[in-house]
Amino acid sequence: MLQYIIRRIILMIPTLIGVSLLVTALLRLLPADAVDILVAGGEVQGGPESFNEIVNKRLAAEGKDPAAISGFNSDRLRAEKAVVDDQLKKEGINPETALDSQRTAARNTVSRDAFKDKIRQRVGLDKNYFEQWSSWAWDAVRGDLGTSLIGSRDVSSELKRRIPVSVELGVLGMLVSIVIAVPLGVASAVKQDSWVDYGLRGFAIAFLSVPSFFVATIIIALLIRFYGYSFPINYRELWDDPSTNLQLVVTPAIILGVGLSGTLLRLTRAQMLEVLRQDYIRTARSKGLSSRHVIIRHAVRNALVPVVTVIGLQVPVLVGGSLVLEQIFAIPGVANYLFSAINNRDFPAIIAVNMVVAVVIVVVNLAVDVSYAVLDPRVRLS
Amino acid sequence: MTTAGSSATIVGGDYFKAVERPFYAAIARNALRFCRYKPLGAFGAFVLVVVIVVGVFSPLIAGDPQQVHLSDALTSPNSTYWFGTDQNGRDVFARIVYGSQVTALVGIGTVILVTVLSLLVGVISGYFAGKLDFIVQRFVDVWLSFPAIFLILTLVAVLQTSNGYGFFGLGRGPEVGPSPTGGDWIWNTLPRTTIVIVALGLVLAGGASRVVRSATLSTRANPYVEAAVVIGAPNRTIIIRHILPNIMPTVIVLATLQLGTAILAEATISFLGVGVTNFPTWGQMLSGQTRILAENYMYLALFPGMAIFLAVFGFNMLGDALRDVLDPRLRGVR
Repeated sequence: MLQYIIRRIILMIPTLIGVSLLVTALLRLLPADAVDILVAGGEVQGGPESFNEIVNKRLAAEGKDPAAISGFNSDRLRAEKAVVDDQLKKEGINPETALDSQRTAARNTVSRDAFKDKIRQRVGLDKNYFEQWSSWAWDAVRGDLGTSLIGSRDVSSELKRRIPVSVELGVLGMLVSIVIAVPLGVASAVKQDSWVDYGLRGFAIAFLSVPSFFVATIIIALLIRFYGYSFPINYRELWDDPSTNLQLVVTPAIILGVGLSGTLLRLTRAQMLEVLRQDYIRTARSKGLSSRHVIIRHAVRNALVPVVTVIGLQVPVLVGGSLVLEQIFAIPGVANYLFSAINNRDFPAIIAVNMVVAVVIVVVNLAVDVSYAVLDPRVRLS
Repeated sequence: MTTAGSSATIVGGDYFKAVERPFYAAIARNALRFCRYKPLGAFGAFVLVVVIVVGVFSPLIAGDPQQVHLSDALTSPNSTYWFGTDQNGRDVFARIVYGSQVTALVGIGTVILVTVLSLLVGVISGYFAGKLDFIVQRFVDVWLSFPAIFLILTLVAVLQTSNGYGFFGLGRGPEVGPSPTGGDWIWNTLPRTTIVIVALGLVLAGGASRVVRSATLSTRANPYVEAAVVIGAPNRTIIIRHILPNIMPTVIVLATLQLGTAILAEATISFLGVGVTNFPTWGQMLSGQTRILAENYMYLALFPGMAIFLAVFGFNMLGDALRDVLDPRLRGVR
């Protein structure tokens, strides 16, 4: 067993490397990068100095000293014209017949691109795929997750602030779902085809069919309309201000948990039915064991094995589900961070969140597999 | 045991001949009995048919969903606007009717993609255990170690480049489609819908393949598979004759869940403002202003939300009932 666990921990390394390689690759495939977003959003603006730098470079390439011919100088004007002409040619416009507006646009494009390249160089986005990945990995291994490209915040301190928030929401949601699903699923299977079963199955299916954002919208609207109650706007830490925190977190946690419990309830029921049909259940019953004993000791134990797997598989679903709820209730969790990071193409933030989630998932998967062996002795870990 | 097992002769070539089973006849007979014994399942089938019919014939059912009637903005439901109008004066009923096109396309497309992918990966990995399984599962590990929403949002963004050179030209749809009553609605939504289907399919298939694999593993451990191996049945036969029929119930339940999940996920990414943006969708109708307006104009959130809920609920009911009908181990038990 111990050997198995150690082997699995070693196996996590290639998985995590694979995840980080894939995230880097996906982000490079995105049509725009953080710098494009920054410049398009007008948060940073390239002035004429980037254009001048290009002209200086051209002059230097021609063997002239750019410093000596600054200001209005025929050489300089000629170089500027040449730079704009090149850009026009690149755009497929004949420089001889280009309109003044086209020349201005081309000049702006040149200076904007030069400016973008300068920022890319500064934040390390000009590197190629492998360089980008390896420099990130080298920093990450030493515990430095980098600085967010937009807002220049330290990613690890941002995560430190946000992870507990998400964990609180996720754990509460998962607890709600298990508390609802497992007993009801077992009851539904034991009372198969009774009105209890039909009712519970109907509820299970209704639970997993309701879109969380719809419920949240309706709850918020009803509360404000009939009770004049609105949810707190600012998130507070649990230990700073428990009342505000719980007011904000409990409702989304219940919505999240109820949504998850549908899948879990159906699966628990299906597995219980499967197990109740097995020979060893008949044996146990014919030995004269009490129904209670058979169900709890023989059936539930075996039925829960795949259920545990699904609980493990739900961790990414939790992150997805909490994204919508974090957005609606303005909870500053990890999913919220990831969403804005994706919109901003914020490489360090995106890869950091993904790695954190990946680590959680990989560890939970290992725990699931170990529990598999503990719960079902027929499963041999190898 | 059952007839299928005992009818196969152990020795001789008969084993490899397909045993004639009244499979389709059983389905046809069951379909008739289905409505009587499973009213809720029949209701689900009805919902599925309604969504598809409403999608296909939407120009005949409702007016133009993009038409702005500013003077009628935020009208409560009445005889002209059955479900009222939104803040731009667009007919909510028409938007829901046209939204069912996206729902039907994304739901069905995603389920087909997920089922094919997960069966391929899950059965191969589970059946040919050992080294192959080990390597495939490490890739699935990576696949599953992403938060689904990240993959969906990123894939949609990657596939949907609006600057004309998107992957396979998929990003090329216009930002705001021409009037869908003009008759060209399907071509208008198809590129973006395909993007959503591919993204959702790729993401959901990872988890599904795990379930298929574990079902395959447990089926493979049965003595009849061992017996088939011993008498020299080729892998292909064992997979088709023994593994696939036995994991079918799992696959059906899974596909059902995926149909609901896909529609919910589509609604969710539409709600987040990603996905199909140049056409009315149910999730989109709940996003943005609606959340603030819902306080006083509840119908704005109620109708699209109920549409999503009813569709997903119906599909799940259908799958649940189908499971009872198609699962050989549960058949006859009732």
